[in-house]
Amino acid sequence: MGGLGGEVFEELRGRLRLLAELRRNIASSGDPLGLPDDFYRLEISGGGGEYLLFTGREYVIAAVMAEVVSYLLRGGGVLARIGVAMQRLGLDVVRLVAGRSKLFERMKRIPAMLAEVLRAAGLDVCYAPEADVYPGSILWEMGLSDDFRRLASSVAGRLRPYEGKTIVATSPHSAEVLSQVYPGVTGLRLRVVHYAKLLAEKDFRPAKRLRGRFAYHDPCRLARDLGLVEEPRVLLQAAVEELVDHPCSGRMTTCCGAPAEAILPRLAREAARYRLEELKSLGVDAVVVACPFCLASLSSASSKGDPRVVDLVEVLWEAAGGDM
Amino acid sequence: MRGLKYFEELESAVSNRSLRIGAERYVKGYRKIFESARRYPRLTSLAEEVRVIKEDSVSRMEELAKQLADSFRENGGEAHIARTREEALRVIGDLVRPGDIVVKGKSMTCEEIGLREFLSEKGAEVWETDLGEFIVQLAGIRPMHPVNPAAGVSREEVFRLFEEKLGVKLSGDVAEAVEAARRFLRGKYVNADVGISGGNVAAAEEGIILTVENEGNIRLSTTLPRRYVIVLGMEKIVPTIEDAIKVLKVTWRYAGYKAPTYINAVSGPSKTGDIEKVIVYGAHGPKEVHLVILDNGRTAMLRSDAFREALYCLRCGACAYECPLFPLVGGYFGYKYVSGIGAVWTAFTISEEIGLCVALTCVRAGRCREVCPLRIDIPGMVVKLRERLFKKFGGRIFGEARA
Repeated sequence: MGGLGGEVFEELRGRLRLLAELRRNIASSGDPLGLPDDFYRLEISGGGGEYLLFTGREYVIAAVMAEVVSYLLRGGGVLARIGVAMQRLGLDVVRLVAGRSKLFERMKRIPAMLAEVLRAAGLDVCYAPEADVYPGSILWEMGLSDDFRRLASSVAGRLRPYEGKTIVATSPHSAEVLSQVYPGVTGLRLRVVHYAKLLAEKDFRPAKRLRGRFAYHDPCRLARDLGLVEEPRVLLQAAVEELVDHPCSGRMTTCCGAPAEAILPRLAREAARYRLEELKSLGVDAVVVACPFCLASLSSASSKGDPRVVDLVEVLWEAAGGDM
Repeated sequence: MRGLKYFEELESAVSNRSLRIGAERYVKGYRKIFESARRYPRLTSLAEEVRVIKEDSVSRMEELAKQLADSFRENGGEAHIARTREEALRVIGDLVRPGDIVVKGKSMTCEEIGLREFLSEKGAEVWETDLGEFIVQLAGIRPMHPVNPAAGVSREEVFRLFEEKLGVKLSGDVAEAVEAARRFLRGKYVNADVGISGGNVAAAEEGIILTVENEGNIRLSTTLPRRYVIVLGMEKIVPTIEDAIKVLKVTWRYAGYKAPTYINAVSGPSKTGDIEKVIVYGAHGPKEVHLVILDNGRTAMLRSDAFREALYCLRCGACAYECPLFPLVGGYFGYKYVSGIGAVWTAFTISEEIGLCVALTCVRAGRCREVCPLRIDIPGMVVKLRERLFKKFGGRIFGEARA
C-alpha cells in the first residue's frame, strides 16, 4: 500500500475531534456524552416482567447529538472549523444545548410511551436503569474495536443477570449490536427483539386511527440488517388513516444523515434534508420513523411547511389513546 | 494526490449546486435504463454464476496472470506482470516517447496509477477519448463514477468547458457538444503514436482481453495507432472466453445497459498472411501490442480474508449510483475509486490514509449491498477497513494509545 505525508493526518485529526471526544467519554464513564446517569433517568416503573425494555440511552443521545450539530452549524459558520469548535465546546455546552431542547424533552419521553404501549399489548415489561446503558454501536461501526470490546465487556456484565429475559430494544442500532455483535465479542447470548417485531407478533391494534396521510421511513439498520420491513407497516396500517411508501423504501430505503453527524455534520444535515424532500414529495402530513437517530436527524432538518416527523412509538401511543 | 484536502473538497461538494443537479440527473437516468436492463430473465442466476467464477479465478489470480501472459505472448504480443504502480509506469514509460500523441480509452486501472499525468509529465500529448473522461480531463477533476466519470458535471458546465477549452460556440444542445468532442478528437486518433486502454475482463486460456463501450472510442484508440498498450488489473482475469462473456454480460446489465454498442476482443497485434501465408504483423491495426498486468496491492487484498471480496467487483457502478451520498457529493465520496467499495480499493492500491478518509465518509446505509450483482458485503468491509486502519494510524490520529 502507498503512503502519504502528514497532510492527510492533519485533516483527519481535525475531522475526528468529536469522535475522539465521544471515545474519551466512553472510556472514562461508558457514556459517549460523558453525562451522569441522572441525565438519562426515565419515568418507567420497574417490575419483574418477562420483557426487559432496553433503550441503550439512544433516544437521549440521538437528540443531544442532533442538537449539538444544529448548534455547530448555526454558530460554526464555515464547517472546516467544526473540529476546533467542538474542542472548545466541552460538556457544559452539550448540557446547555440538550437542556434547552424541545426535541430532547420530547425524545426523552418516548421509551416510557413504549412501555405503556407494550403493556397495552399485554406484554409484561420491566425496566432496569442500571442495565440500560449505551452498548457502543458507534465504536463498533467506526471500527474502534478495542474500545468496543472494553465497553461491551462492561455492558455485558450489567446485562448478564437478565439473560433469561427477552430484551426489547427501542433502537435498531442497539438491537443490531446486541443481537449480532455481542455474542461473538462477549459471549453474551441474549434474546433481543425490536419492539416493532414484538408488537406485530402480538397483533397490536390501537383503539383509533390517526387522521392524515403518513409515509414510513425505513431505518437502514432495521430494514436491511434486522430485516424488519413489513412489521412496522402492519402496525401503522392499523394506526393511521392512510399509509404510503416512497420508491426508495423497504430494503431500498435510504439514509437519514445521522451516521455522518460525528465527522461530517454538514453532509449529515444535507442527507437528512434530501431524504425529507423525497418523502415530502409524496404529499404526506407526517413522516414516521422507527429509530431515534432517524427521528432526531430528520426532525432537525425539517422546517416550516415540511411534514411532521414522528416516531412509530408516538403514533402507536397516540392511536392507542395517549394516556393509557 | 499531494496537497489533497479530502474532507475539505467533500464539504465544498455538498454546496456545489451544479454537481447536485448533474449527479441527480445521472441517478435518475441510471434507474430508468437499469429498469429495462434488468428485464433479462436469467440476470440473477447469471450473476450468481459469475460470483462463483470470480471466487475461483480470484483465488488463483497469480496462476491465471502467468497463463494469460504466456498465452498473449504466443499470440504475438508482449506481456508484463507489474508488481507495483512504479513498475507499471516504468514499462509503459519505455513505450511512449516525449512528443508522442497518446489516445486513451477510459480505464480505472490507468486512473489508479496516474498514467495520464505520468505520461504528460514525460512530454507526451495524452488525450482521454471517452467523452466523460475527456470532460474530466478538461475540467481537471477526479473521475466521479467508474462507468460515467463525468457524472455530476452538469450539461451547462460541459458547454462552458468546451467553449473555453475547445474554442467552439455551443447553443445549448447536448448533441452539439458531443459533435465538438468528436471533431476535436478525430485528428488525434489519426495522428496518434500510441493507443492505451484498460480491460473489462480477460480470458487466460485464449489470451484475449475484452473491453465494452458505447462510443467507439476504444476501437479507434486501439486500432489506429501502431502501438497499443493494455493496462489490466490482475483481478480481471478469468479462465476462459466463455467465463469472460458471462462476466461482461452481468457487468453491462448492472451498469444499466441491455447491450453495449461495441464488444472489443484483442489477443495480440494486427496481422495478415494474405500474401503466400507469410505472416506480417501490423496490417491495419497496431504492429505492437503490450499487455501490462497490474498487481499493485491486489495480491495483498487476495491474502486478506476480510478484503478478498473486493476483488470480485465488476466496476458496474451500480453501488455508487445507489449510494445515498451520490446525489449530494458525487465521486467526492471516494478518491479515483468511489463510494464504499472505493474505500477498500483506494486503501490497497493508492493510499491507506486516503482510503481511511473515504471509509469514514461511508454512512453504512447498505443500499450498495442490495444492488451489487455479486452481493459483495461492502458495508461489512468498510467497518473492517476502519478497524484495520485505526489499528495502524489510531495513535497518530487520536494522539494517544492505539484505538
